[in-house]
Amino acid sequence: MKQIWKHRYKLMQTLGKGGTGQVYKVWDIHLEKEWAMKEMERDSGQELQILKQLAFYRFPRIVDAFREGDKNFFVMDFIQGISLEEILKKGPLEEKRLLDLGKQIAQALCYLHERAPVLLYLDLKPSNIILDENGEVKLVDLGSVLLKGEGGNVSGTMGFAAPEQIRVRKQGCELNEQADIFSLGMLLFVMAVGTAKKLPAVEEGRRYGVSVRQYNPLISPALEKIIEKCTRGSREKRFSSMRDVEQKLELCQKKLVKCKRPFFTRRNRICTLWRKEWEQERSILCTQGKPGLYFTGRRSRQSFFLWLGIGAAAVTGLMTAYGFCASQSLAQETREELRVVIRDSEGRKVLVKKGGIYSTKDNLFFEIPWDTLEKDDCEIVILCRQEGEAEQYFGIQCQKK
Amino acid sequence: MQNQYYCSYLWEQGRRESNQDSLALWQMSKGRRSRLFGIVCDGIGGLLEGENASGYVTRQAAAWFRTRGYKIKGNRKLRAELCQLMFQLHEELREYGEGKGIQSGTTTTFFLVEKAGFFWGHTGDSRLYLLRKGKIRQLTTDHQEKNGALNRAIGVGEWKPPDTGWKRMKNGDALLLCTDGFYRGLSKEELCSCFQYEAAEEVQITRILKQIGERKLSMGERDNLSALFCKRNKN
Repeated sequence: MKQIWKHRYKLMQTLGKGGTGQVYKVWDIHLEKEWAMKEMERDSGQELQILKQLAFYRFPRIVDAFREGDKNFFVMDFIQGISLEEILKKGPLEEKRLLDLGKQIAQALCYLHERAPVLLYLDLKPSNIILDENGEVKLVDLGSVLLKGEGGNVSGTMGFAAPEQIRVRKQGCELNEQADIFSLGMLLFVMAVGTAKKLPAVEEGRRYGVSVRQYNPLISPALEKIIEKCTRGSREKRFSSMRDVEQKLELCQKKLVKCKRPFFTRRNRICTLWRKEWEQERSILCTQGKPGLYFTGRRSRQSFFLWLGIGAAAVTGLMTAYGFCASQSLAQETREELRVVIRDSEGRKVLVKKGGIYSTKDNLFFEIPWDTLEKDDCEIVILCRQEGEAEQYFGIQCQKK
Repeated sequence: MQNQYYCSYLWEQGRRESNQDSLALWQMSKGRRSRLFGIVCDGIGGLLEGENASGYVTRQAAAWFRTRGYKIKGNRKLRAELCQLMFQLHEELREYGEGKGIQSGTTTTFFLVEKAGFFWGHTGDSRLYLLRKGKIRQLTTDHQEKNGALNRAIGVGEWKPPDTGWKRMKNGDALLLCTDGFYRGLSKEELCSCFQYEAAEEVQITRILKQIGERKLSMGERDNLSALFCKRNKN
């Protein structure tokens, strides 16, 4: 694989595949700085033209564009942060944070909609939203951005795409800002519920009766109304503009702040100085169920090397690292301990002691050599526990390469 | 210091091959303040791995209480947290079942007692009774069809939030959480007469529960028997 482009950009890491091409993290030898570089396999003239015009801090700036071989490349700001998809793996967001992020995303979309000509984002989803080190929202992957009134690839992502966006593929129709408003409503729904699995089916003209408060009763009725209005099947019945959505979210935020004002804070502060701690006085547990639950994928042939990455966002604070992988254990089957090698994202071996406690925010990879697996059919389980929490079990799928 | 609450439990396999019922009781105290969390789960007999499903929900709920639940103030927040927890467990059980190609589910009924009253939640056909001044009252509604089949559970079927409620708790009040194997065949009056108002020692309560269990077995009950009893001190 090529390691250096234009005698200047040195490959550091492959970040993944965006909507329209591969994305790399590169090191600029001249400026001694990190950038993100996108490789385009087809003519990227339009995306490049759009990116060049954007001058808003919520979008990455484009700093260079060139052609090498039969591919186009453009270099832009590397945003160090965590995606919203990773954050939502921990569960739903609190309403205060949800409103703050929703407002920032609405601001970014307002910038696109209020330009001349109007730009439509059309691919709003958690993986395209990054929170940088300061907690500011950045929208990445502008491969689906289109000028209003122009045709093009408008497929979007299942669950987040508006009904008219799905219809465009079949019948052709003009999209407008309401498509982005719908996607924002779905995104707020996912942030409130914590999972995309409960997204209602997208149908043209249907009024969505799903109540967000059914899954998260902590959400205020005002926010529920905003989400419901954004996600109406018929686009005429949604908010008329993204600016309206942003203002409603801000109003909701102000109401929330008023309700949460503490009372007698000085008295509470004094009381905490002499207050005792809570203690466990009684505990009874009666069950024949096996401790924990094995989340296993379908059985398949074991692979030569089993690579498993645990997202850095899922590993925070202290984690007790079990230096073994156990095969699945049911009442009739046996459990075996296997020797594993743990490596970090740079490929370096991590030395851990069984039962030891380590702090890490890095990705971890568990390597199991082929010859240590005796059986053809087995499942691998990783045991993981955060301090103070119950044990959690992560299962992985085995795939033969 | 004397404990404010008298608690006891019954957990019997009965005539089944395994015990698919699970129960837990946790009490956290700080000075004179106490909070109790009790939960009873009954694995769905017609499905596989009922004991794993009920055990998992019980363990996770107890872990939630001892790490976060005992600190939560306000019924609204409590209800939200518990509904969120049940939803998570429902999804996890469902995924577990999908991964193994089986269906596995459990009923669940729980209460959280604090100074002013108690919060309760319920899905399935286990029951929560309130005993007060010699009278018994069933607080939960069985989620059953007319033919007795369950129409709501954790881990199977479509998600529906559990029924919840809050009630004031006075000194001398008692709560009885039990699975269908325990209450089936017994009327409310019979249950009430067993728990005489004057029975205040834990040993007495344990003896009463065991007597009811033996009586049920002698009546031919084949299901697992589980019950959790919690009474607030009169003084």
